[in-house]
Amino acid sequence: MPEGPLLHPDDGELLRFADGELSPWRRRRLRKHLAACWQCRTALAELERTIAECVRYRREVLSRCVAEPPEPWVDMRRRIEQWEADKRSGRAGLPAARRLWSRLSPAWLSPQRLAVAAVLAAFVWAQATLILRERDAARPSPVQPVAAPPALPSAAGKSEAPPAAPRAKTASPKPFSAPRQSATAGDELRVFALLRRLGADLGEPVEVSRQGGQVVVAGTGVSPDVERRLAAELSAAPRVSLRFSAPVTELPPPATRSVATAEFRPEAARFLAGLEERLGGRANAEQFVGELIETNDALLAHLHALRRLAERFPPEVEAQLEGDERRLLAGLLGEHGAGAAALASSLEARARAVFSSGGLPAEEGQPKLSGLWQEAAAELLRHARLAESRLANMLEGAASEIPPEALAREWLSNLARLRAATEVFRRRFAE
Amino acid sequence: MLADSLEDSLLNVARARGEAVLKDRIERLFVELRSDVYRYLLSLGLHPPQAQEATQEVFLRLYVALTEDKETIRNPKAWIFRVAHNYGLKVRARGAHELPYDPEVAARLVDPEITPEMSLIERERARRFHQAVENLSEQQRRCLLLRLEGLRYPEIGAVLGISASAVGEFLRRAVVRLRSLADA
Repeated sequence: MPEGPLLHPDDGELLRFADGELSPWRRRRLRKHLAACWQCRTALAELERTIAECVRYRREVLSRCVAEPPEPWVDMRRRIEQWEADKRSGRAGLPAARRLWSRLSPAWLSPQRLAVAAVLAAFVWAQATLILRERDAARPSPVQPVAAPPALPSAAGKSEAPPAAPRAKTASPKPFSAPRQSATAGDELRVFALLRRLGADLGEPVEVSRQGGQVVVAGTGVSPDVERRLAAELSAAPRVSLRFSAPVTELPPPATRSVATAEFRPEAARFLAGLEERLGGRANAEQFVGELIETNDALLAHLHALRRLAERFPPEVEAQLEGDERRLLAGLLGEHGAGAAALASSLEARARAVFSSGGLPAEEGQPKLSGLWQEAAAELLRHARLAESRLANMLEGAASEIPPEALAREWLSNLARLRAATEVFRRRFAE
Repeated sequence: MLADSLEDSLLNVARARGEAVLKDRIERLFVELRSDVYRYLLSLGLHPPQAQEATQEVFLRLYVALTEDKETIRNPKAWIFRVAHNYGLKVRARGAHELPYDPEVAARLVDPEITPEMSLIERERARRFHQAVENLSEQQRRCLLLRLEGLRYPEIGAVLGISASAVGEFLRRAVVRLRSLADA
């Protein structure tokens, strides 16, 4: 395949080049371009200067200006041997569990400590009862149930437009409750529900966390419309802090990935020529590949959103949620689970319609998925990443020596597994 | 019978040697990486005693993973940071009622006892750079800190539960935001 001129790479590509993260093919093309382009060489040098400044920052600031460990470091060999001795005597699992056990051992539970604990427990019980009574008295009307999952694109043929990111239909989150001292997991969850309602949890660079007793909603380069709507909804909410900032420089428009602009190995080029023939021309092939990528991105956005929820609401935090907050969380799982399942099914149908001539992968049994939704969300994302990497290798032929036809068969198999796993997730956690 | 017992004892010797070599390796890794892991855990909001304890726990888990769970670990450093990240978040979630630790780097930076050889200008420059890093989003900052520890994009993605391409994008945004300061 003849090598056409390479357009100026953006900062991201230059950074991946500096970090050795480009495929050998793109690295070679970019090196040739740099040899000829003063402008990009200067941009790369500026990038390297920033990297050098980061390294200096780590060496001179982070390494010296954070608190020293409070105790001398243990002798790790001795600690391992201690753990082994405990294990032999049947006293230990992992050290963390062992420490907990040792604190509950009879030696620790002296009569004085038990007496203090009893007084404390009585106090906490009295306080909790008081708070619950007050809350019941002041409880607003229950939150509306989460609406049915949005209509999602059905499995369809190649002519159908790529499924748009489903518009959130989560019911309006319950108003933020009266000021307390610190934001709760429920407050954070209501922010997630609001993001869902605004459609700002699928790909927008918005991050939610709890810091210093507040729910912090932060983002850099968030689209102005989303930023304005978030500010309108959240600026008056107690215990919520908004931190939006504009990028220092304008972000380049998202790279358009199409058959025409991708770089191919000769095998990949032959494969795509075959695809063009099958679909009736280059324009159709470009549209088809574009739809695959869009659908895949939309699917990943749902799975990242699920993974984010899993990260912010692990079982111990989920246990702190109240009844209506649990329903709100279930609604979010429902929408993302249904969205992911529909998109995975759509993606598989598109792929099968075109790539199955080499033989369909055998149907596999019910995929195994963890019983905990947090772990299952991470498993789904792993399945999707595997499928994504196959798709990328197949279309760009960047890092694989496997012929694209074989990759296509593997990809179909990955997609079948992913679709089945998203179905299991939807049935188990999202209905 | 004798052959069986001889074989058993030889196997025990080999296993003991293997474990001794493994303990040596983990001890060396611990000495090499413990400060980096400790610092990373502080950046997640763990208080110094928690971060120190968690760091030691991570290396013990590495030994357990290799001996008990027979896990194959191709890149121990990436594994260590992944486990440290997950364990650190669990510790933070358990202590959600207490404020995350603030390392007060900026205050320490201007303390002439901690940075005696830095000139005023250097301190001010470092303070501004630190402020800019603090103002990055959480994901951008985590990607940057892990990259500074030498992790590759897919490894950072595995730590944070995001794709390698998302790591590239977070890093790009971080570097673009820091560039104006580096050039100043």
